Parts: sequence; structure tokens; C-alpha cells
Amino acid sequence: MTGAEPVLSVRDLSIGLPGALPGALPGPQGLVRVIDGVSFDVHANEVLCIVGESGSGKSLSMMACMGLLPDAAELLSGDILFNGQSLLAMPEAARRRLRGAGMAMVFQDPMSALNPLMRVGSQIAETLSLHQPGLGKAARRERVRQLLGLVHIVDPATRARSYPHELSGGMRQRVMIAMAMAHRPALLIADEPTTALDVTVQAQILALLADMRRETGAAQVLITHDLGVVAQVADRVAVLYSGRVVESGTVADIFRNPSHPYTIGLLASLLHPGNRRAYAIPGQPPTAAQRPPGCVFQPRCQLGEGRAACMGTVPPLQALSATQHSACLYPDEARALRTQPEGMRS
Amino acid sequence: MNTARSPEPVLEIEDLQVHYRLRRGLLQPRRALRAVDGINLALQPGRTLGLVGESGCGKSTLIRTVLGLQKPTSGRILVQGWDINRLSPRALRAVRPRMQLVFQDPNSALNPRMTVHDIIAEPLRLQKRYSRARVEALLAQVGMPSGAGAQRPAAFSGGQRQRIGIARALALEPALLVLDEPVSALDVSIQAQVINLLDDLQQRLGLAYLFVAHDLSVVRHVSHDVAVMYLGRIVETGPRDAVFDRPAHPYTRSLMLAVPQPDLDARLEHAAAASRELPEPAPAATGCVFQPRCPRAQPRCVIEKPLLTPQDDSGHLAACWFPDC
Amino acid sequence: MSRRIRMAVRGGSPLRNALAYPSVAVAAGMLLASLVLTLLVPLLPGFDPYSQQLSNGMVAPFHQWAHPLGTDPLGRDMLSRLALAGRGSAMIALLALSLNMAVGVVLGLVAGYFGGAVEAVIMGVADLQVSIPIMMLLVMVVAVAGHSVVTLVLLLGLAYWVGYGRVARLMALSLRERDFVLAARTFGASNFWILSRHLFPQLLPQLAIMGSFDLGVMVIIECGLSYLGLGVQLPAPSWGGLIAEGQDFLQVDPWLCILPGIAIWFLVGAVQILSQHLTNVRQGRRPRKQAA
Repeated sequence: MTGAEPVLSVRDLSIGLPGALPGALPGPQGLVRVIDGVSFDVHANEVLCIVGESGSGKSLSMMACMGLLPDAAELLSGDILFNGQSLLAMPEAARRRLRGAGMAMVFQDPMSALNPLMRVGSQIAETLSLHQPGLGKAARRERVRQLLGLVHIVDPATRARSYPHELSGGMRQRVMIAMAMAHRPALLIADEPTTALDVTVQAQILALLADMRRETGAAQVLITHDLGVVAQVADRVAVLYSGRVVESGTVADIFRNPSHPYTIGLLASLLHPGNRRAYAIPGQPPTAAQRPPGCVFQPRCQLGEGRAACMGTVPPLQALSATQHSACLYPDEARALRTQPEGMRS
Repeated sequence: MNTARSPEPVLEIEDLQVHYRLRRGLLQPRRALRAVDGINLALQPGRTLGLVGESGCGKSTLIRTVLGLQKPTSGRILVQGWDINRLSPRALRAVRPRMQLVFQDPNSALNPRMTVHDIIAEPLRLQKRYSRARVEALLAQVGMPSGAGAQRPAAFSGGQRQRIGIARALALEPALLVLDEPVSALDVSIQAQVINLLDDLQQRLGLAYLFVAHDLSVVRHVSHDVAVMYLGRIVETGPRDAVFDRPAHPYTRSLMLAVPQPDLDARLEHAAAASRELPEPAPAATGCVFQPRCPRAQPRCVIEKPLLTPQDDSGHLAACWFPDC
Repeated sequence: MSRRIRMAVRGGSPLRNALAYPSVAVAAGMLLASLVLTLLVPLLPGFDPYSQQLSNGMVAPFHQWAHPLGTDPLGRDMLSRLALAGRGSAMIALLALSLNMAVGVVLGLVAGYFGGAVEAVIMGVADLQVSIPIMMLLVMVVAVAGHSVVTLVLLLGLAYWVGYGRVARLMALSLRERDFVLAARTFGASNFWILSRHLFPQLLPQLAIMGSFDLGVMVIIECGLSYLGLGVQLPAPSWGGLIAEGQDFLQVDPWLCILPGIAIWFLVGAVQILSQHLTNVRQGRRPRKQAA
């Protein structure tokens, strides 16, 4: 699994957006660093879960990979490599060919991602004709049926003739996945694919994504805020906080040996039937324009209270082992926090 | 249940039915959609009833009916003893303060063009109880900074907007608070803050909560009692621990199995779950509502509708002919 | 230019931001000139649109101090006449616009909010009205009912409400199920409260855009009617009326037509440019950024 070249490699990516955030002061050029030096890798046949809350930049970083950033966004530094090739140096035409064929994305809300006025079969056929223009009409129809069968939709021929609003949320998400898989992409990105769905459907979709990976050997990136999902499907995890990666590692590293106070705080926030009082990380994440100097989590961090080192410089991602990295200057103390739940403020 | 000593319930729902007539086409007969199909509930002061259900189970209709925003087809809803569907509009208006609602989406629940002060003042003004001090007190009670009143909702984060919504719901000093997925739209680290706030308020003010949610871990944390809803009916209900530790109804079990657990050791089991598409929830003409999707359906389930029957002495009820032990 | 706009867009008051765009600055100037003309000029000591001086007729602009914009065939001061005419035209246009908006907003909100039969009736009337060619109707009615200002305002004011009605109805439809409306109902709010406090304020930005544009349209229609002799009657002139008078003398003194034309252009152009700017702001259109 590891050792081979990663399918996707994000290197020190920084992206700025015009500063129009509430209560924020714009940066030097009126741009605010929404993503600040983010790096991670994804290998074939592997699932990377990007965990973060709102404002962490998780969706934006994947939109950058797909080349779907808003016009106003500017690349400030870093690069994105797909199978070793720099995406940012590629001309737009080449990137467009890649989009849908080499890498595909599934979004959170299938209702807004599907055209309400077209039958779903036609929409899948459309992406086929975009990247495989040689395919005849009959062959396309057959392929559409195949794809709908691939995502375990019963009676695909009839379903292909339905409009999006006639389908349930789970079915729409399956259609989205079928569209994304149409060209057997090497990389599938799913942005909160199950958040809008019911619990029982969530489980089906996650299992479906796992099936897809087994069948095609593609790499998958799953963006989520749900640690339950992470525990179930992830091979590796990257934890984002306010535009920076604060911890990364295998899923076992993150759950069994978390080494950053934010990760530990997230795990502690999980509601357990035992405790009466929920643990809440005090305070709020800073907006991108209001990041403190030094460690971005420091204002909310027990360890960092009053510590000059934490407030002074931005801690780099240090390797704790072959697989795990943490952006905390005191990972050992952080780990100790975990075994003393009473030591955490509530 | 100790009915001899329990105080008067804040909310009682008796055999509530809400049916819609759907017309499929000009020539087809009208079908009745039974959004709520015979619900019975009771809620005591200071207690939280967690209502669990997926989309289409009828919980939105239930909420609207309980709050008097929609008329039921039949059945009674008693709020502190008042049958809200038999009151004149004026009397209903006077009873409304007793039952308030906290919304799921803090973005749409607050009018973006109004200041926070005006948003919270609105119920007070409508019921002629306005005072500046009261608005300030409410903001403080939910932990908002002073000076928040002068700003618009857009200046605040999702968690803070939810607090504003809670402050507004408390303005009229209700006895019953209906919470419609109050933390689903919030980040995980903020969810806990709001849950703790709700807990504090309940202890301090003796509020009764009808807590509607689909997130089982949240429901488990906040509820004293739980009811599981499926296609307009309650299929299982009882004290929280009884239902969560020993789910008797197959639907409840399937819900619990489907929730991804943040537990690495439980990982392999989850991956084995089928990814096949299940038939959509559609009401069965006769028999048990869940029967078309039930892995253990028997002939009896198709013919006879099961009633809620006690599973033990704790008040744990399930509507199944073949419940698990 | 682009750097100025980029800087302005970051922060600063909306007014300053708006003025950073050259088209808006020009429009503001034109509007200012129109306001000065219609509001300030009548207050000047030399203001006199009525007295005739037959010996001093058809003087060109900028030739005499007493008559900065020249005189008409009867020797009356053009500047004063323009100002008076401007008042008339603008006032009628403004009143008519207000009436249209009021009728449209009320009917539209009611239709959208209550739905059912009420909506059907109101929208039916709207559709009916739209199918009638307005100009023809106006001409016919004026020919029958006479030229008074009241008639004109009523006529124009009830001819164009449908646009506002539709916008208001859509707004009411999309907002009536929103959570904050539901919340108001749980507090015991009456329908009137919801309509006036929650729905109506949301319309204001759209009304500003449509209204500013339609103001220009109303002015043009009024001037058109006056030109045809169907509008405000002399001696209270309208810009359209001035053009009608001046067209007989086009060969000899074109200024008689040009001046009112410029006056119309200043006012109408200004409000329409401003309306477009408001639309751009509302839709978040920014100047295209340079390639990095």
C-alpha cells in the first residue's frame, strides 16, 4: 500500500480568499489565508479521511485538487501532484480532461448537484459523452445501466428514466457515485457524502463506497466531521483545524494514540452513555483572518495556556513515527491528557 | 410508571392521527397518507423525551401538530391540561407561551435582517411582555456576550445562533420546549456546549423537553425516556437505558446497528453490512408497518398490526409480535 | 481603475464603494444636476418661467446672463421653464411609481402568502391587465377622462403594478414556510404582523432596484404622453410638452428641443445606471480579476 507513489499529493498548499468574513480585518493584500500550508498524501486502494469542522478548510482543499475553486481564490503557495504530475502547472484543458476521468468528486447534497430537469440516466450519459466521445448511443445506454447496477440500484433500466426529485436521498447519492465512477477514476473524493442522509442509508452508502474501492483499487478521500464514520472506513486520517493540518496518521494512530490536544478534544467530545456532562472544547475556532500567531489551537488549549513557545511560532508537523505526524510542540503531554479525563475542562 | 405520584404531565398526546389526502391523478382514487397514525405520548416536567426517527416518519408533522400549527385529523393534544384544538383562537394565543420551539437550522430560524435584540424581543412584544431588561437577561442566560443584541445573526457562528434561538424560545417562560434536531447542524465541538446549556436550563427552569433527533448518540445522552417512530407510529418506547441496551423492535435494532461507532474494534462488523438498496419505507396496507423491510417477518406480521406491549416492568414497550429479548 | 475598485470593494462605506466605479460617479453627477435643476433653480431670485418678452425670443444658451439657457419663442426663460417642467414630470413619475409599488406589493404579498382562491383571483387580474397594451389604454382613457394631474397619476399608477406584484408574490411564497415565520406563529403572531415585519422588509432591496429603474421609465412615459398632447397641459409645462413646442422651430432654434432632451437624459440615465449598479451589487458581481 505505502511505498508506491501516492495518487494524490498535496504539498504545503496555501490558498487565499478575499477577506469578507464577519468581524475580520483583511490581510496585507486583502486576502485571507483560508488554507495555510496543508500537506497530505493518498495512495491507491486506500481511504484517507479528512476530519475537520466548519472553517477548517477541508472542503476547499479538495476543491483545489479538482480545480473547482471560486474565481476569487488565489493560490499563495504549494502544489498538488496527481500521479506525480503537478496539477497547478497544467493548462486548464488538461485539467478538464482529468476532471471526471482521473479524479471525480461526490458532493454532500445530491439534490443540488443533480440537474432537476434532466433524467438521471441522461445525466450519467452526459458525463460519458464528455470523456468518451467515441461511444455510440446504444453503448452509452448500456454503460449507464451497468453503472446503475454497479451501485446496486434495483431495476436500473427503469430508474435511469427517473428525475432526481422522484428518487430518495440515498438513491440520488448512488446516482452521484455512479456518475463519479463512470470512468473508473484513480481518485474518488467524497465531501460529506452521508451527512444529509438517514442513518440506515448512511451505512449502505459507506458500504457501497468500500465496494467501489475494492473493485477498482481507486484511492478515496472522504471528508467528514463524524468520527464514527472515520473509525469505520478510514485507513489514514488527516485532522484539519482552521486551515492547517494538526495531526495525521493511520486510523489506529489517531484513535489509539492521539497526540494533539485538538484531536484529543474531538475524541473527548464524543457523547458516551456514561457521563452526564458532555465534554466541550471551550471557545470557538478562529476565523481565518483572526488566527493567533503561533499555534492556531493555543487559545483553546490546556497545554498551551501561557506557554511562550506555543504562542510564538507556528509548530511544524513533526513525525512521531513512520506513519504519525503531529503539529504539537508537546505531544507527550498531550497524550497524557487523554488518560486523565477529569483533567479536561468541561 | 408511578402514575400515582407523578405531577400533571406537561404534554399528553392521545391517539393522534394526521392524515393527508393525496390525489395521484384525475382518474385515480385519493389515497390517504397517514403521516401520524395513532401516537400516544406523555411528558412530565423536568424530563426529556427523545424522539428518534428517520425522514418520512412523521416527526415534522407531529411537531407542528403539537405546537398548534396544524390541525390533526383526530386525537387530543393536551398542554398542561389544555386541549389546544378545542380552544378559540384567542385562547390558543394565550396558551402558546407554554409551548415553544427550537429549530434545527440556526440560519433560517432567525430573520437575517433583524437585530438579535429584536429577534428575542419579538415574542415578548407579541404577548405584551416586553422589557429591555428581560431581553438582556435572556441573552445572558444562554451565555451570549453583552452587546450581542445590537448585531445581526450573520455576525455570529452557528453555535451562537442556536443559543440565540434558545433564548428566544425561553422568552415566554414555556413549560414545554420542543427541540427539532437542535444540534444536528452544529460542529461536534459546539454540539457539546449547546447540549450542556440545554441540560443546565432544564435543571434550573424545570423545563420538559421533547427532543427530536436522528443522531442516536445525542438522543442517548440527553433523554430520560425514548420513543422510536416509524411511518407515523411509535414502534418502541421506554426508559432510555432499557431501549438502548435491550432494543426489542427490529427497526430499533437496525437503527443501532447502522450507526457508525467510533470504535476500531467494531470495525469489521460494520463493513459486513449489506450495501444493497432497501425497499423504501412505504406503509403496508395491513399488518405491521415495518414488515416489508423486516428481516424476521412472519405471516402473522402481514395480517395483524402489533400493539405496543410491555417488554418488562420498567415501562419499556415495543410493537412487535416477535421482539428480541 | 481596477486597483481603485479592488481597494474599494474590500471595505468602506457602500457610497464610497459605489463612487469608485466611473459609471456610477458620472450617474451621480447627472442625478445631482437634475436635482439642482428641479429643486434649487426654482428658489433662485431670477426664476420666472412665465413672463414673456417677445423681443427677446429664441436666444441661444450661454449668450445672455439673464437667461443662461436661452429663451423660447415667446421670450420666456428656458432655464426656468426646464426647472418647472422637471418638477412636473418628476412629481408625476414619482407619484405614479409609488402608487404602482404600493398596489403591487400589497396585492403580491397577499396573493403569495394566503394562496388558494385569493392568489388565483389576484393573479388572474394581473394576467388580464398585462395582456392589455398599456399605451393604447392610456391614450384612450386620457382622451375620455381628461388631462388632470390626478387622472394621470391614477392611470400611470395603476398600469404597472403587476411587475411588483409578481416579485412580492414570489418573495412571499418562498418565505412563508421559513423557520422564522413559523417561529413567529408559535408566538401568536397575526398574519398582518408576519407580512409587515418579516416579509415586507425582505422586499426592500429588490424594490430599490426595480423602483429606480422604473422611475426612469415613468418619466419617459410621462414625457411621451405630454409630447402627444395627452399629458400635463400648458401653461404648466412638461419636458415632453417643451419638446412638442420646440419641434416646430427645429430648423431655427434646435436648442428648444435639445435642452429638454438633455434634461430627460440626465434624470433617466442617472437612475437607470444607479439601478444597474444596485443590481450588480446585489448579485455580487465583482470586476474580473487579472490573471495571477
